[in-house]
Amino acid sequence: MSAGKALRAIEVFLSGLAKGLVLMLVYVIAIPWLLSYISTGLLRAGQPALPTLNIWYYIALLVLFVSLETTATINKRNVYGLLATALSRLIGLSFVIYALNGGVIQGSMEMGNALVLIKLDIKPLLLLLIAYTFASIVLSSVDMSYEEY
Amino acid sequence: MRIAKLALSAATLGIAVLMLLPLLVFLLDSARNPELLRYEFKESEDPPRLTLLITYGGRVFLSDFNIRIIMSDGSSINTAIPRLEGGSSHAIDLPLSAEQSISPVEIKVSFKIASLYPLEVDVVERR
Repeated sequence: MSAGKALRAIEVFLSGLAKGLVLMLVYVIAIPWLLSYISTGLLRAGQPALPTLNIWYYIALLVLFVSLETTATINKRNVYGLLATALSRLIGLSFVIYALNGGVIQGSMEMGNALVLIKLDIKPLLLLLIAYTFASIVLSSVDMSYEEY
Repeated sequence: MRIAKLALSAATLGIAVLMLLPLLVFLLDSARNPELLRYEFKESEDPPRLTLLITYGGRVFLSDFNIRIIMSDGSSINTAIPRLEGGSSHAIDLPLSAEQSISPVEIKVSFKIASLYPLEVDVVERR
């Protein structure tokens, strides 16, 4: 393998790693944790009801994101790249929907001799995220078909 | 194509900020003011009725405001306010039948923050 090819392979891997880490940060950590902590924390309704996943699930998700994004970078101009991009975005989106309990954040708190149960529905934000994810997949496919010509 | 992607990202960011703003303002108001949404009952004997006074001190309007009050004898009273503006108070007269006990044990309130985010609050009195 020539030095140029080796450098290209490292570049592709680093690009996949960076994109995978960004996706992990946005979909698995930032969006679900921030929305859940902000909502339950500010409503003073106890701990957010986020899923308690084993660390290995997070590592598996990271490996999946990095693999898919590396595949997408390698196959930038064909359908496999588009499929890899679509799959990584849909996995991220599914995790957000799962982590946020389908868009319903619940909590409870004691107030004197009363128990207060709170249920906040943030589905409008999830719908926006779904719309954005699908629009970005469509734009990627249009982008790819333009590059083919 | 880059312009289309940039426009999509900018539009999404703008819409996300516009959609997040009322939720964040409501939650911040709620964190700052523990009595953001206050209710108070006043009982009258003749004729038997319950007056519910609702005071809202937030900055974001609340819509589709529904209240369900469950009494100690298991009966319930429902009432609604179409729109609750920040800093407003509403007094609602709830007529009671003679045999109804006038001690509420559970209050279920549901509304939408800025017509977008449904929020349900269930207050259960413990004896």
